[in-house]
Amino acid sequence: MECNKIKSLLSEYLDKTLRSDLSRDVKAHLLSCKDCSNEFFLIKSVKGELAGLERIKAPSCLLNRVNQAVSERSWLAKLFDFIPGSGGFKVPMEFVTLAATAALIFLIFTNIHVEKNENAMVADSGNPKTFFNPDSNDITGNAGPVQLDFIPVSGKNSETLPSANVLYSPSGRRSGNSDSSDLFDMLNGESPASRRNSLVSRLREMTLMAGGDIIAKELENSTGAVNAVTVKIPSDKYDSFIRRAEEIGRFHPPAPALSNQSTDPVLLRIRLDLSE
Amino acid sequence: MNEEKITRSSSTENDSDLVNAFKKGDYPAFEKIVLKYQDRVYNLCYRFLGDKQEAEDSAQEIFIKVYRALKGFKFKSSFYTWLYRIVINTCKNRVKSVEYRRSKSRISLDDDQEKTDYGISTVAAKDDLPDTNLEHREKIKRIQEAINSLPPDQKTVVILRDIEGLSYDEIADITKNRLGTVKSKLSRARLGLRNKLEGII
Repeated sequence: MECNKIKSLLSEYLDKTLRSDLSRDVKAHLLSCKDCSNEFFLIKSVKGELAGLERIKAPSCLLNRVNQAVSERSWLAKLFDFIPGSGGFKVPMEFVTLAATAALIFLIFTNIHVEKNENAMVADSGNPKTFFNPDSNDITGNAGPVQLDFIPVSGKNSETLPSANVLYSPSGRRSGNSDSSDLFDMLNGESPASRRNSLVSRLREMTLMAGGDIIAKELENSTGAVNAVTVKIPSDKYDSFIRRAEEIGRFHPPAPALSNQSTDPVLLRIRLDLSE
Repeated sequence: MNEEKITRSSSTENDSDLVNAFKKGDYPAFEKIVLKYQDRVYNLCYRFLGDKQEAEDSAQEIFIKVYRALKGFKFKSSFYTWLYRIVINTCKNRVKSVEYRRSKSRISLDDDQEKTDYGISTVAAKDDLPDTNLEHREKIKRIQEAINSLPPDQKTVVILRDIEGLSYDEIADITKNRLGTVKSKLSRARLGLRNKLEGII
């Protein structure tokens, strides 16, 4: 057999799944061909290295995260668990259709209402109109200028977007705010790395709700936990994003106000502080 | 590898007990399933995605999918085959996602941050000699990078075979490929890894 043919059979020969006659041919060839023999031992080494890779354990917070996500599913999603054919409690199809339609109408109206409120808030704000107003902000809480970065964004040539650099920490419970208490229940008792990752998940949800995106994560060297995230938020949703984030945490300094003229999306580098 | 197979086969009965209990409304049975498979699922995600945070998010997504679909599970295949199929599909979709690509490209710009990945810190603690330690860390990093660079189908097959220790038949069942396709993808994957790792193994 030619070397090319032999090489194509080496993987199966290694796994001992070749037909016995082919296996004999390969074995005989390997004894006489140094090139194919080297190839075989390299592939065997690859397999050995992969089998010897460390098995990484799941983080201890995974079950909590799954439970949290399952319990947060909407009543409508849970209702669909019981539609006919799913093996659970049987609900008449007419009822399911009616409930789904009602929920859809409710969601559409709620969405319109929220959009109107957000637009009204942006229109009412009387902030000066050049990127951010840095006057009242300070990284340390003492007097001094706010730390603002301007990060070049690829794909926009040499243009830059308004960007800010803030510290964010989960704050105390707000009475009657389920988001806040959920977050604290979730963070309680977790390792620092897990707490950071849980907080990032919350920020991710808020970012997506605002129509934005997490564009970068920075990891801590020793633990691999997320140290900071950079989010990109559409300017018209910036205020509502900040408002939501402040329901469960605090920015240090307070997140800068966006100027009224700015229509570019905002880049916010959020460093996580769980020292409290 | 043999131990893994024994664990899987002996756990099949328990899996069906847990699934049936969950179908009857026993939520703790679902939690037992999560606890039983979380390490395997997370490790598989981690090897596929090469990033701990992505692996954690994916593992969460996978168990939520399991929760949603478990009531309709008909035991046409074993539970873990079904679970692995969800893992593979979720990881493949994750790789395609815009956010994942952006996050990976940003992180790869920072050499220091690269050292935090690939489970290096756990492995490193076992070595006493700094030079050997560094060399070993570099090797593990290169191996994970080589895995990351494989096309998704080849990556799937080589991870399931050489890291998870599944048989060809099991891989064919999970990936819904024919046996011959599994063999050829595995052969190409190993050849690809061998080319990328030449000189360090």
